[in-house]
Amino acid sequence: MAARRSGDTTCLTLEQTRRDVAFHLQPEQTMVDRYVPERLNGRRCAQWGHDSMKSAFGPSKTQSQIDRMTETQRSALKHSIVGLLILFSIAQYVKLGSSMGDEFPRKPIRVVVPFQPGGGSDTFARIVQKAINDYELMPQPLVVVNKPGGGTSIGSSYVKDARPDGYTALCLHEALMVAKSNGQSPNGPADYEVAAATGEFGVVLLVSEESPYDSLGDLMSAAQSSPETVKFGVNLNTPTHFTAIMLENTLPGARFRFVATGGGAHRLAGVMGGHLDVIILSVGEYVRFKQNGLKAIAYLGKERVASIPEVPTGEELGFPVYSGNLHYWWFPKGTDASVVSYFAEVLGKVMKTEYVTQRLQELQVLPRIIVGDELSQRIDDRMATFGTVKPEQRVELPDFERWTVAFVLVILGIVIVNRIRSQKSETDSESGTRLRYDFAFGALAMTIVYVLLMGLGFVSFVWATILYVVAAGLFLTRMDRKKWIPILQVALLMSFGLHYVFTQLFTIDLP
Amino acid sequence: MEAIQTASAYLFSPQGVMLVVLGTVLGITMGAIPGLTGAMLIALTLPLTFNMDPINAFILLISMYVGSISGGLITATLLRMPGTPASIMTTMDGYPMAKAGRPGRALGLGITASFVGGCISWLFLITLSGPIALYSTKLGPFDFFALVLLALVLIASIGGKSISLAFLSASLGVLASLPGIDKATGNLRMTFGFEELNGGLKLLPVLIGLFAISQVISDLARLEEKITIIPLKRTREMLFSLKDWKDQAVNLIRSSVIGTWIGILPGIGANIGSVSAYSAAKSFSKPEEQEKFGKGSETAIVAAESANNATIGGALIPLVSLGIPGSVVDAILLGGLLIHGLQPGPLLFQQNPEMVYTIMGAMFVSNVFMILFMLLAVRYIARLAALPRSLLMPVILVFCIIGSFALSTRMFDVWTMIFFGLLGFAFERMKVPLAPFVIGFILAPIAEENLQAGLMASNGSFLPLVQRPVSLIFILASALLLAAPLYKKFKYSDTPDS
Repeated sequence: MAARRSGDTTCLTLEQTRRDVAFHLQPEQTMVDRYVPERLNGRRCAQWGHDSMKSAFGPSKTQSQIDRMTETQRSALKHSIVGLLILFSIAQYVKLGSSMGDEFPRKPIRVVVPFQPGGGSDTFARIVQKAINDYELMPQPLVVVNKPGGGTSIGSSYVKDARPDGYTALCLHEALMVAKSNGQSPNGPADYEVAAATGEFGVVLLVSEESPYDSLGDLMSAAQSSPETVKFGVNLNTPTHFTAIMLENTLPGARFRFVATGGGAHRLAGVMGGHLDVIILSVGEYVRFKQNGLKAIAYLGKERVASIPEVPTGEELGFPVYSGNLHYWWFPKGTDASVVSYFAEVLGKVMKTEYVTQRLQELQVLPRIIVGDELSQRIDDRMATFGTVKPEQRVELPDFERWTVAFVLVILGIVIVNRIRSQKSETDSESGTRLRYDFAFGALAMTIVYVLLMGLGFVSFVWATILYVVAAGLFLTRMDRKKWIPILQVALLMSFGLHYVFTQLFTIDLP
Repeated sequence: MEAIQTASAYLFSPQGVMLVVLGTVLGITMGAIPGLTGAMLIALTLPLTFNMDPINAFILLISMYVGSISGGLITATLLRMPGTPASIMTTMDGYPMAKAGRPGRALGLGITASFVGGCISWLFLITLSGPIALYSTKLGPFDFFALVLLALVLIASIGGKSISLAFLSASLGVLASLPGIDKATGNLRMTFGFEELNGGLKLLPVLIGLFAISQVISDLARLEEKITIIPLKRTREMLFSLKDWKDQAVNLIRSSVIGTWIGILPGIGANIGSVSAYSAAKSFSKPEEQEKFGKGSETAIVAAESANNATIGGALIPLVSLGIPGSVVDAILLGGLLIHGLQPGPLLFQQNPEMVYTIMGAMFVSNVFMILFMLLAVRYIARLAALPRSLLMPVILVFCIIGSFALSTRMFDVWTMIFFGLLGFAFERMKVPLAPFVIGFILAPIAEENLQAGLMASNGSFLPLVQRPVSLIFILASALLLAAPLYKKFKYSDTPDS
């Protein structure tokens, strides 16, 4: 085709678009430029060359007829592909709906992990997910959903407020209890039905190999003799911080200088770079990183671990701090007891599978599972322990909120003064075409209604999207009858197609 | 040696090549669609790789990483929507150049610069990963704070016409980053009792709102005007000429080195690398070229795109050598290593050298495929944007909504996005630049965390900030950068400010 040979892609595209429409309607009529603003098509095509003009407006009749034939065929092919795609995704959607059985679980169970993907909790939950799905331990799959933020409160609140039907659970370790006892989160164990605690992982105290503190005894006496000089890297108000305070409590007068250092990788970098004296890491992290010049001075558990037998426990050294942690599985309050115990049973099977035991061994996590009375006893014990720990702020820090607000106000003042001073030069250069804010804000209002419908759970993603795309499309094309078919195509592709891609291919939930 | 052979056997097997192609194409496409980012694509793909061989999985993921950082430039140039955060700076010059009738040139510059940036940072990755990563651990919190301060001051020089408006935008960005949990005390702040705000405002919804939604609003307002999607013609002008290579060589190398270095630093991603290289390129340019910055400067596009691709190699250095992520995507990749039963860290070099070489090899092969695919197929990807706008706008809005939602499946993020869309639109109307807002929003938490950690370690003393040599250098550099535009303003105050 002429346009193609001249490398003129845009004219080609516009032309194709016009022919797409032509396919649905009367072919002859649509050569009139209604689809594309005339100015663009006419002037630019003229600029770009004669060839494209020829093809667009077809001075040679036979040539243009041939072109149109092939174009119509191409367009037909394109539309049958689109049609097939739509049919395929609708079929997938219907299949999904009909695959539900009668007994629990009738649909996939969603497990919320209140951390970013890739962390210890996420990895653990995904190991369990894989085991359940691969060994078919449940008739329906487990789906892991990450909801990080707010310490852990975003994810824990989400599950607390979820419908107690057994299809939403939370996988969260003792951070839930810590967040509750320091007031960071309103959600505590009492707000949930707990199914089981699985996969125990211990923590170790680490110093650099060049550190002057050779043992836990050295470290503690330094913290006692010169309080608040030993730099202890913690994630404030999380289990690491609480563990460090419990360690202080074992020796009267011992006080560390707490430095907020975030996650494990940052703590590690801090101790390696000499910015921190001591940190806490999980055994798994220690084993992974110990080549970097690290030395474990104590394991904070009841008895030594097999993978690092040379590391003594805190208790052996006279500082009885126990900080073993497990991943707990919480259901919303009011979830049926049979459902909770069913899930605990499944978890019991999971922990015995070869895949899980092997993977957990690699991660230095024990394939332990606690259920029933032992579990509630443990939760009570831990809550009582955490209740005795009172974190406090030890260093006066600048008030960032106040500084920022003050800075914003000052700059705002300067900007306003500048505006007033230069007002006469401030003429609106954006005249010419009238802006259609009715379009913009009409479509935006539709979007807000669309989000509201899904957010409040009135309509599912698929139906809300069809409705929205059709409504917005009709509104923006001003009910142009020629656009109905493309709008409907787009609506179906967006709704069923995206639903298929996200829920089936990517296992991401949609509203 | 054996490990290199294993890695290349995987990489050049039919399956490996297919995965590179698939990953790069998907990455470019997702990168090009505003609201869908590489981080999201990789996070979404990770579960799909559980059943794959770890090496194959990483060939796919690394290709996606390379593709997604590169693809963003297409929409940044043709639609003025950065397809990924990394392409923000490309928007500032790529779009004006495309609007001026040279979209092919703008894309060509971006694509080739991306490739060169990727190659140069790859050289750093393979030669220096060990020693450099070791050095970065020597930097303490005060050093980090000073470095981030330097980056924050840099935004003043990219703020456009008015320094005061740029600072206003930046400080509002800082303000928007405050709600949520105060990392230094663990307490909640500025949430006004609104529990959903406990997690703070997430980058992705804020970014989609500011750049995509506000653009959609103003596009819709102009629906009856001519199409703003810039048509791509004369694809031949996309290729670099010998003269281009000569003109841009220094800029390419400088920007790639900056990008690589910023990539190495933990937590600072491709967008910052791109900003820093852009500012550096601006200050190294001749005055007449400086004038063109923000209006379609070739130097600017080359700087921004070579630097953001260079952060890929940079960010992979601490990932493979220390197991510490250099960017958001690397944090997801780190998780991927764990999920596949590999222990990231120095042991990775000893225990799974084939994985290290796979990551390195995949980055290079994908980079080569990226430039080929982008040069050949950019017009087809750009066709996504050539759809009629009355149809395209609802589609973009749906993608933005899903993109924000899928981040952590929360409606709150969607509302955040809509709010910042309106804010961004208001900013545009009042001629307040958007980029400083985003930079302030991203950098403030990093600066704050490090300053607080430093202060806690020094027991409240600010002195180490000027006592430590590294932080002293950064502080002095920021002071100089702050003084330079003011000095220039005084010196050239006779010439009217346009």
